[in-house]
Amino acid sequence: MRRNFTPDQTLVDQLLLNSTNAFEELFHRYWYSLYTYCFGKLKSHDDAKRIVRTVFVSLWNERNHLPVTFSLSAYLYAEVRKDVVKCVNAKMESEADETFIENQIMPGFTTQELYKARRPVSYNGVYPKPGRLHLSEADNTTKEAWWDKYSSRTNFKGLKTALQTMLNF
Amino acid sequence: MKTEILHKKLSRYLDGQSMPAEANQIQNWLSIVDKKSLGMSEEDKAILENEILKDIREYTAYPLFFPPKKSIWQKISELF
Repeated sequence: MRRNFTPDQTLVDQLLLNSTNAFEELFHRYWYSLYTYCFGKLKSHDDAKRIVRTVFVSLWNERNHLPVTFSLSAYLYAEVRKDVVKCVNAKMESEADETFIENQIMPGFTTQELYKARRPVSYNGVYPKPGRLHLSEADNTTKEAWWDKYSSRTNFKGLKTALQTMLNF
Repeated sequence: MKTEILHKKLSRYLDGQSMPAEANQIQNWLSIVDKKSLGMSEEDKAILENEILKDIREYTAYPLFFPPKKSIWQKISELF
């Protein structure tokens, strides 16, 4: 497999010079992740394929109007997200995709799913450490709740001893 | 939530007229990523990649307007 380690920004600069090789290299780098994202949302190979194609066509057409501070991955994902919403919106207008909407899209808008999306990374099994504090799932709801529980169970004995040692020294 | 309500929400979002809470809800949904891989073999992946690239070439016609530049070694080898 041929590998090219040129940074994205250099390839984007080469796009301004109509370099098709740079464009195809960018395509090889990003198409699969964009395709996977689209398929995860829409569960349709045809739609995912169409969206990836549209995004890269628009990138090629807009190559002369790209801003100076341009982030390629941010641009591609923003376009893909917009197209996914457009596609879902279009599917809602047709009755043929009613079951798809009911089974695939609507569950994503439940309160639990939205709560999962808003959940901070630090609560994703990183702390409290297992075995040290035995908190139930309900205790992990907010940072304040965790801190209250932690601070009430810990009497800061170690900190107190350390301070006393320092003062005596 | 009913489908009609969601449809109106998405329409407002696309028009840029959604409330902040609605936009937040839709963006949260977009940020939920399905981590399961597609399970495609390398061969299928290569075929699909070529198909999409071929479509892009047809839509933009860039190989016609901007043919890829040949390296010096390719030019020399073509002479022989």
